[in-house]
Amino acid sequence: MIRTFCLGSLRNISRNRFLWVMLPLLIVFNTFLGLNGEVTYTLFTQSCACLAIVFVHESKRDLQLRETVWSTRYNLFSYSLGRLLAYSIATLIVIVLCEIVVLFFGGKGEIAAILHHNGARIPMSLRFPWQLWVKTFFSMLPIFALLLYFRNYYWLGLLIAISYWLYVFAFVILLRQNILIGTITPGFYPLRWLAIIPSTNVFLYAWADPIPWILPSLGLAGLGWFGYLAKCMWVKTAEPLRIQPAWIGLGLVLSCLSLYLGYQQFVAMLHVYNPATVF
Amino acid sequence: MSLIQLENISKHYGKYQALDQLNVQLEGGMIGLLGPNGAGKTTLIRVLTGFLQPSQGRASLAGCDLAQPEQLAQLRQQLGYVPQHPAFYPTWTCSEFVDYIAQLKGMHATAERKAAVERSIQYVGLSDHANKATRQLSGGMQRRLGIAQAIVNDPKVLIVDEPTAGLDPEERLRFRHLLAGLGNQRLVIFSTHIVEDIVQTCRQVIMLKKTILYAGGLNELLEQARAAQVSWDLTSPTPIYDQQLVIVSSSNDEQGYHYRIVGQPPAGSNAKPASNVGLEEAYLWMMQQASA
Repeated sequence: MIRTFCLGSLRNISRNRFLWVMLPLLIVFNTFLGLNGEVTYTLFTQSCACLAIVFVHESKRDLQLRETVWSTRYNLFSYSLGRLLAYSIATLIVIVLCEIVVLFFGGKGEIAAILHHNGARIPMSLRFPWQLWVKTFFSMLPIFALLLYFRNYYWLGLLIAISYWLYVFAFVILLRQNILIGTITPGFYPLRWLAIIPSTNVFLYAWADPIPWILPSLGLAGLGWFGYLAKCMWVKTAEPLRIQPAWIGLGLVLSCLSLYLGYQQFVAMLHVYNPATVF
Repeated sequence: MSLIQLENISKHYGKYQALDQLNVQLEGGMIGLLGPNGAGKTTLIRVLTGFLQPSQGRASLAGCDLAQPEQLAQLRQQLGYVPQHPAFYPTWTCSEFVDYIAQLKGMHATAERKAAVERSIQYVGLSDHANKATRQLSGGMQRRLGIAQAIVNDPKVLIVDEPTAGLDPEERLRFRHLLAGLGNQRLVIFSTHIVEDIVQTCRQVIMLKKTILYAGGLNELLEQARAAQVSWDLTSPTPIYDQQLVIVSSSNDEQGYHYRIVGQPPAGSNAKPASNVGLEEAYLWMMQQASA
């Protein structure tokens, strides 16, 4: 059943007109800007952020379909896991599509560098920037989990998805001047605490080692997903869950652990991170 | 054995009472669920399909206790459901959608599933449109596609919520014929507020207006209505504008204005008991009794 939901979502994604209009536009736009280090990164993140909007559209349709689907052997666990898997696969596919463009048109021989959390500078090929793929992929997971949480609230979901997409888009103009959480320059940034959420600080630490992103992202996505299952169990919706409370509890504990350990890694990375020294 | 059993079923949303103390025991076949708009038909159907949990009482359908998650899951394996407003993924074709629902219903063997999908699409007369996107279908075709997805697993219980509302006469006739055919082999619960649909298709009826007004055979109901003299024929030299009278039909000729009314005729009128009582009169009589 997970496979059925996953393939169903992939079919919806593959036929979504918004995605197939936006992707070529973004590719042309970013290629026009030159596909240097930051524009390349923007291409990956912007293109994947379109999937957040597709996710919300599909949730709306699922809400209309729910009586039909609930009369089958539907259960929330399979449905939510199937959808998260489908969007993870779609993110990978979008990254591959962008990579094809970058491979042919990107970089022009320029080499960027990322800063490893032990302080070493690691050169990165802009024609094959796997570090950016990792960061982009993992930064989408908490967004999908958040949108799953609000799947029955279309306008709120759309607001979140569009805000995230615009936030990513704005980076083209603002470059590293991160309007929400501030840059490394001192100043008053009331939302600085958002820095612990990988999806929101994707640009501030664009050239940092991607490894410290994996655990916090997985932790947040896990908290969102298991938190949603726990909420549905708590409020006793008529949706069958097909997952025992103990597994939900275990999932929440592992997610918290992952977030905690990831945060430690993240803080360690921040101690050595100074974008001025990267290039 | 009763295929539908409701014991003191009530459902309220906050202070609003949608269903009040429903008690029903009915056998299989085609059962009409009749009531005015807002009578609680859709709420009852959602209780019967397990989408809503009743605030009080117990319900069982086809021998499955709906309060037990295992039995509800068992019921869903043999359930077909067409909601009031069937929705589809607009970019999918009819075959793809029915195939998707078939997979969700647990039909995993590909060859068998494909055959079942083809069969159900053919049954509802959509073979020529099987590869058409669902957004290109007319309203009537979408309702038929709703039936196709519901019967793809050959369910023992089929629940259809107001399928004929908004359809043109030709499509309504086609739909009635479809449902009557399905009702021969399984329990079909057919919700509607169109009396004619029930007369043409069902032998048992549940009349609902937040509570059960009647549940049983259609013929027995008509017998009761005849015995109670619920319907009167009345001729008047002038038109009648009495808002209190429930007028079922009216016509006029050179002898005056002829009316068929339900309930007590006006005092001093020349009303005569009607010789034939239809379901419409019986239904209006029931509604009158409920409002009294």
